[in-house]
Amino acid sequence: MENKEHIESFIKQSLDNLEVQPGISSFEISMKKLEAAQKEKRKKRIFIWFFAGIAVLGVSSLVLFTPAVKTNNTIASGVLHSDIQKPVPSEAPVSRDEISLGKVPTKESQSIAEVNINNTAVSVSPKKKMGSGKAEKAGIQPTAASTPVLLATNRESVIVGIPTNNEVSRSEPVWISLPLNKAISFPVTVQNDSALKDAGLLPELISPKDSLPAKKQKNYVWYAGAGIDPQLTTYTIQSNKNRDAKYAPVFTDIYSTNRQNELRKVWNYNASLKFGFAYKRKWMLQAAIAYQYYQYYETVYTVDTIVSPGPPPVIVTSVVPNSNGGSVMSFSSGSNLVKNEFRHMQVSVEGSRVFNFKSFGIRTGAGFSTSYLVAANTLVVDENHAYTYRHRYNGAPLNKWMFGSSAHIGVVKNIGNRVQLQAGPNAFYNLSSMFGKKYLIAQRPYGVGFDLNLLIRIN
Amino acid sequence: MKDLPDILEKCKRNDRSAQADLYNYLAPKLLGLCVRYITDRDEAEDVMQDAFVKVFMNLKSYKGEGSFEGWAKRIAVNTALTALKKKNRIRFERDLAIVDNVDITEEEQQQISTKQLMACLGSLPDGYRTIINLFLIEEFSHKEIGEKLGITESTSRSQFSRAKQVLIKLVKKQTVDNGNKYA
Repeated sequence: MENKEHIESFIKQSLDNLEVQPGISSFEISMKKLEAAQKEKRKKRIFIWFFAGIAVLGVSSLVLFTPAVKTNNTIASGVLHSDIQKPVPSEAPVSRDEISLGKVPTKESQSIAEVNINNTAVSVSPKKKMGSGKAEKAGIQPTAASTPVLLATNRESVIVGIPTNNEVSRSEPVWISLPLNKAISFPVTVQNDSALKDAGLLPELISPKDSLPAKKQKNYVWYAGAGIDPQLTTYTIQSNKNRDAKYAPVFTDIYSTNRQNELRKVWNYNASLKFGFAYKRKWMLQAAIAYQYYQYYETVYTVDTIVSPGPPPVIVTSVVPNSNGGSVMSFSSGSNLVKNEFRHMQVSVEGSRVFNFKSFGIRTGAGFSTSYLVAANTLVVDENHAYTYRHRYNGAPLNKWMFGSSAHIGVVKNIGNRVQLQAGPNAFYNLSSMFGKKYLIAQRPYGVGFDLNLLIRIN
Repeated sequence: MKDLPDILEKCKRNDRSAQADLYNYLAPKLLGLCVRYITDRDEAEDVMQDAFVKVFMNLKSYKGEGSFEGWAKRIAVNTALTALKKKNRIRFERDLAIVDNVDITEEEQQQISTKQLMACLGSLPDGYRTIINLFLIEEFSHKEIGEKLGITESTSRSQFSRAKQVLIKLVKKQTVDNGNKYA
């Protein structure tokens, strides 16, 4: 045991403070890596702040531009005087607006119709949630708990709204229209709609919604929002006429066959900020700034070269005659999975035609995109093996800019006045190759995706 | 290092010459650590560079508690482990056959150089080498090793025991070879 402990301390002493001098260029490489990491961090920070800013902007615009539903909660100190005997002048100028929800009566209209409900309170204790014009469901009971409010008048009647109690939604007060030319004795016992009608006290029950004037639709509607779009991608692979001559036989004989049979499927993910506008709710033009992330694993074969005759190789990748009359065989002696990653920033524009139905719309159209390669992590360079067909990405010149086209179809659903949800499939095809012009292959991604966008109207 | 606090302050401000000073001071130590975990010299240097990037990026989180060198070494250890895990190289044998207890004498210990000891350590499988490093040199407990490598404490213990025996065997063989060489 003692000996073992001695061994342990011997190993520790020997190796604990081991120092190895790094290569001359090591510091420079470290600094380059550091700069890249700092750049990435900065980008991430900008990205986060950008998203946060957009979110704040979206929320604040939602709050600012959403029209507040005004309820007139100004309780007229519990007393509204009315001279019932006073005739109602027929010229009383009453606009439709005055009947609308929450409109404070003008002095003039108050003088025209003053209902004396002094010391009288009518309140409601609804047992159910009240819908517009459905007071009969509410189980109206007279109590002395709350005070009626004069909301508006017209020539025939005075409209009294009962302020809400805790059980009634503020946006939906009870509306009672009291005729002016009839004597009303208080307290009023309100049983239900029919009881009121029987008593001649409820000629019409006005719904706040019904009384609102119809809003004119805007021709141009601006939107901003965000979306996600997971896409299943594969590639077309074509030989490039300008490829380096030394790769030609490999490409023709082995590489193209293997790769084209492979038809690799890759998931890529897009998160985007959307801006756009709709014209007459029929035509839409949307622009997006998206962050794209591709990730896939590739089998990389370790390729060794032997000069024949030699041991039988497992998978022969190429056989090239040499000057001695024999041949050089490349063969695969093993494999492992290597992750490839591509990150793009994409700017896209798409035009759509919207076909509106009763409760939803169908959006269909096409678009164009430009992607900028932000970062890529492809296979490690190994130029020693000219015929290693799986090392094809080694040092591959990646295109910084890519252009693509897309087509989409989907459902548009408006949620309330401000929010629009878009969902539907899309198909895309990259017009340019992932690799540079002089590279031996042209690889164009194409595939299908599913858009999910949430937009908020900003005007 | 005399002016370490000053250098660290400058490094926080991204001062290139201070970063070079810190690098010159720390790089041999960190590379010495990395080659214990990763036998391939280039790969080890790559890991050391990554560790340096992390050190520079996280300098603000170093509050001056404990030695800076220890803090940087911990980062290097974690970076090396991440690199090994990424390539799925930390594997342990399930079937642990009983290994003969091999002893080594003090004379034998004196005969072997650090380089030869490193070679012996390098010829161990990655899993064994990692455990030897973590337990013997970094002095982590088996519980901590278990957490780092995603194995149980008892697995760490048994793997270490076996790894140590294999290492001693290799060291012994090396000393025999040395004896033959100089005979």
